[in-house]
Parts: sequence; structure tokens; C-alpha cells
Amino acid sequence: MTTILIIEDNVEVQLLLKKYLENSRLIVCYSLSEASAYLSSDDVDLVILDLLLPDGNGLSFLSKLCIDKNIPKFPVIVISAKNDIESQISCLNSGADDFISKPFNKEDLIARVNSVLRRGPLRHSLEKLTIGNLALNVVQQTAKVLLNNKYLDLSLTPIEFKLLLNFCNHIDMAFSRQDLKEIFWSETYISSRNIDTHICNLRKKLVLTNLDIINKRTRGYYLTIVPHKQKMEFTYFSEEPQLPTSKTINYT
Amino acid sequence: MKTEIPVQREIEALSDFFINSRKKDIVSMEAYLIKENYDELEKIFHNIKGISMPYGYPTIGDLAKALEEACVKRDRESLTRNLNKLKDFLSKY
Repeated sequence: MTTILIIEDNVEVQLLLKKYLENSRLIVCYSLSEASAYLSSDDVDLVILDLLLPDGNGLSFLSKLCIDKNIPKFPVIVISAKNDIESQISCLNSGADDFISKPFNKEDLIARVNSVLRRGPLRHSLEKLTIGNLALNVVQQTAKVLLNNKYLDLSLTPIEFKLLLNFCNHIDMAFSRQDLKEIFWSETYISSRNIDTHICNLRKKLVLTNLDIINKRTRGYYLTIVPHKQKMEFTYFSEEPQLPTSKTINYT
Repeated sequence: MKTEIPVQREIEALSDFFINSRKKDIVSMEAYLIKENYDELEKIFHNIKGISMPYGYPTIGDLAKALEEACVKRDRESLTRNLNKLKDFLSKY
């Protein structure tokens, strides 16, 4: 029998899902913290995840699932009344295997559940990610920039890599400091200043790429492709590209 | 038929629970409206919008959608008007 983990705080939605999915074994959680206990279990075949939960954002939680290699791979269907195209795309880009808008009907829900179960989780199948001249290897946790037909390792720290991977999976999508705290530091304390420091260090290492992390007030940090950086010329390169030192970088 | 549109028998059996929950919600809505707490109101209407159709009450879903939009726009007049419509609708059950 299929085991479905439902993460949804609305009792009426829970009741509907219990009725519609009565042929499956259901584990119902009201919050992300409650659901965390089941994530490392091998019994869960599918997760149905609401976005607006009392203790956090389902999207941030989904991002965390993608990054954490200790969590078994299972498919995730997001259900939400926030059904604008942007939200749906964000969910799918964050690793959701499908998105179901509320209100949903029984036949649609069951068809999508069966479809997702048949094909299994998609989100962990991507081992390499290339954006612009940046190449990430998710398995090796390395980030390299392609310059002069050679790859240069950016020597990211583990947390810098995780931050960058998250940003790369959500190009142009902003993450506030609170979002980042929930994704990467949910069980430890970190100050906003320390988060800013990590971002600042990461930005410095991205200087050779055609990407940048922008901080926009009221939105947060987001990664974007910076067109003018694609025409960068560096005056101090030798045959082997090296990370810039204290010399000025000229942008064209 | 208890609901506005036909639904599964097991769901129809929950219709009293659904309607009673909405009547309780009205109390919260009015309290939030007095305090002009549009964020909390928006959450309530957002939730109601997502569940009304499956429970067999599309009218409640439509009203919740209009109320949610009114919250986003901070349109007190529209909020009051549609809240009264919702109360009228619920009074029939």
C-alpha cells in the first residue's frame, strides 16, 4: 500500500484528502516541524505539501529537501490556493514534481498522484547544472567558471555551495534573510549580519562569472544573469586564469 | 441535496462541519475587520477560497476570492459588501 505524507494545516483540506486518498496509508502533519520526523523514513512514497504552513514556507522546505542528501528521494506534489503562474513555476523549479491548485477535484488529484508515483522523483536527477559560464556539480559539490576554455574552481565553502545551488535553482527568485535562515540554519542560530557576510563572500567568488547576487529591498537576495558581465575583459590574466587579487576589474 | 452542487456522499456528510466552520469564521472576520488586520483576513479568505468548491459551495468560494482581492487592495467597502453577502448566504444553512 502506498504511504503518503500530507503536510497541511487546514483541517478541512486534510479531511478532503483523507476521503479522496482513502486507498492509501496517510500520515497527516500540521506543520513542517512535525513532518521533519518522517522525512528520513523509507516508508514514505509521496509527499503532498501545502505552501502556507504555520511554521514556515513550503517552498523553502522544498528547497531544503533538494539540498539535503540525507533525506531519501521521494516525489513531492505541492497543493496551494496560490495558483498564479509565477507560484506554480517557482514550485516546479524548486523541485516539486507536480502542482495542484486548490480547489481540486478527486479525479484530478488521484490521476496526478498516480502519475507522479509511476515516474518517481524528478528533483534529484539533476547532477550538473550550468548557468551562463558557471558549472555546478551537485554530487561533488563543486562550482567552476569557464574562462578562456578552461574551468576554474571557485573554491566555495560548503555553505557557499549550498547557497549558490539554491540560488541557481531559483534564478531571479528572491530569498529574504528569514527564508535563508529557514532553509539553511533552521536548527542553529545565525545573525542577519552573518548571512550578509556569507552572501558577500559568495558574490566576491562569483565575480568571474556572468551572474550576480542582487539585494533588493523588500525582496531579498536573488541570483540573476548580468548581461554586461558577459563582456568583461580582465587585463591581468596569464595563461592560467586566477581569481582576482587586489587589482581593479574593468567591466565593459 | 444539502450542498449547492452535487458532491460525494462522504463529502456531503461533512457539509454541516464546513458550514459551521464558516459561521465561526465570520466572528473572526468581523473582529479582524474592525482592527483592519487585512493580512489575517487575507489568510482566512485564501483558505476558504481553496476548499469551498470541493465541499459543494462554489458561491462561498467566489465570495472568498472577492474578499481576498479586497484585502489585497485594502478595499474596506468591498470587504464589507462581500462579507454581508457571505453572511446572507450562510444564514440559509
